[in-house]
Amino acid sequence: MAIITLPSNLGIAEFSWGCTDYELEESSDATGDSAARIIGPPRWTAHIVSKENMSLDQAAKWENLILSLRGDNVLAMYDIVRTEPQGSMRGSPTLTSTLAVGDTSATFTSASGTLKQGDLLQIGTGLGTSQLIKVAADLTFPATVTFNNPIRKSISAGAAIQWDKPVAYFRRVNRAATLGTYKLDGLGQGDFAIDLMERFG
Amino acid sequence: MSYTPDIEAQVALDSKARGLHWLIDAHFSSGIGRYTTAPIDVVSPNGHTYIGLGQFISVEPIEETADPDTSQMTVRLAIVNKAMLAFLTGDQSVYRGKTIIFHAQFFDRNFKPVSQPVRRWQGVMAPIKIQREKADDQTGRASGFIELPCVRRGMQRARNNEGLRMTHEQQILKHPGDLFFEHMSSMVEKPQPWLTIAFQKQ
Repeated sequence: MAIITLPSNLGIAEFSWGCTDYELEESSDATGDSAARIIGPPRWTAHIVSKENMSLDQAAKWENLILSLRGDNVLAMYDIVRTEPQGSMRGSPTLTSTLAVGDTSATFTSASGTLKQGDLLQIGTGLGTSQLIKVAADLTFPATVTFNNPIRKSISAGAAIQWDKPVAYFRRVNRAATLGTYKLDGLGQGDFAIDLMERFG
Repeated sequence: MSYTPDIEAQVALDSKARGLHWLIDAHFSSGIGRYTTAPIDVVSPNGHTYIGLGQFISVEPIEETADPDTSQMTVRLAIVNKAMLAFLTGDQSVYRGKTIIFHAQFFDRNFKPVSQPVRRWQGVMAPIKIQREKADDQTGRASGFIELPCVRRGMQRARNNEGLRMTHEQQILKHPGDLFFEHMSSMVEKPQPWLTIAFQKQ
């Protein structure tokens, strides 16, 4: 298993970020009452599409990226728009106390400034030992950070909080990804697309 | 065996979003293997980590009855957890006749395990079976999975004269307050060495 990093200057034309829940909906025909049977914790998803017409050199980066995401290799992917918090928190904050499974709030040590709703942070480092979270409410430190999605594996106190290009780890789920389309004039290549689903272990 | 949920389990049951997973203790001769049907590793209240196998392992529905129950229960495995497969496809003496215990536990809307795990089934592992589906004519694709039948301890003895046997539940329905059969199922499932009179006189 290898961790692939997102190449620079990839030529991304379209990017979307999402979340997949794993739930079964139970409902009563008679009363309309409903409940959710939870099957597993939610996962981040991402979708990236290349520019329509790129030079062969740049298209080769896409080809290589698609081919390298074979087997159990994962892509360390960050939100290419929200690369750092909208709030002013910077520096090297760490996790104050251990997070347990299911937790949706945390406190940080050595944190100052603000965080805004929607900011992305990575708690911990590495595949299976970190989690990408999205801040749920504006705050000014010192304060408790509330976030989504709930912690799915315990993270020890002292873990680093990554705010600069925080990543989650993804697998390519479109197993038959096309290696782009050559343009009629024979000068360019484009229309690459990769569907990504988070993997956490 | 009836199940009275503890307070945390009852809160989860009453809420609009909850789930259930099985914690499985497989007592191999070389050590205890701990697995769960949850897709993430679960740390039980007593500190043991259960490896999250998720959809790669499935447990048959567990039925409860007042009748003498000689049915089997099957665990299905996909070929993913190599450690467990190595045990099951290796030497039978590692797992055959060894205890396997199933605990049920709820989790809440944040996928946090709540409530104490409750022991719901206990038995022994029987030799595995490998099931293969017929290959698709056009694509040639086939799939297969490994089945681990689990049987209740003492099932062979319980199967004799099955229809004539009574259970504690049936007896107290017929004769309320009569506890004659109270310990029968534990005596069947947990055979005790019986010392002969001659041995005791030594």
